[in-house]
Amino acid sequence: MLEQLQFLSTCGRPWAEQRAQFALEITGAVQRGEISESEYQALMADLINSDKLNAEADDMDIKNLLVSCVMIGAKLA
Amino acid sequence: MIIWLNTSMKIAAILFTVLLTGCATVQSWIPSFWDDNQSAYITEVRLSVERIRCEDDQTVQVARLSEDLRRFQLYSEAKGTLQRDVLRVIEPMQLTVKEWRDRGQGSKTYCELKKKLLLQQGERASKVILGRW
Repeated sequence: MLEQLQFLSTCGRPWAEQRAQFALEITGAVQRGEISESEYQALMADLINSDKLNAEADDMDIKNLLVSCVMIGAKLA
Repeated sequence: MIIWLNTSMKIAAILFTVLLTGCATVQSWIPSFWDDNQSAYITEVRLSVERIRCEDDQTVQVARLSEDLRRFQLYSEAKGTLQRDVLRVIEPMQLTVKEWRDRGQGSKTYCELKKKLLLQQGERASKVILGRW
């Protein structure tokens, strides 16, 4: 898992790099004993939740873009 | 007369399709629009996250953050069904905060990592909420 995360943290896709770096940070913290196992599980679950937030936000961005296009189109017509 | 009938039939067909697919589907296509209060509330949420000091009592600070998110939720719910998109955006933040609130005082590193994640979530949420028409 660590090798895959390290690969993802420099894969060139910013969204994947950010999540992989954060996952590495969490994994490092549990390995050093700075956080408990339950804290580790909770933080990983939060990371998955962040993906849902980003997906919803991307969806809203597209809808806003569509509204912009309609507004501009209506002004030009 | 024939043209009028054709147009009427087209309108009827569109209305029939809308009725079949249901109002909920149509509403999900319509985005929510700019709202001064929602913009202010999400900024307050971000400010509460930014102010978290991990060396202090976490429970009080997380309770405040949870209230800020609840204020946003209650206001948006009261505003109407078109606000479902913004409610879906803040739901993951509420889950992140709920777990912290249920846990109470966590380790300092846990607090720092939670704060970092909430800062990222808050930034994305506010960008889309303040970026609406």
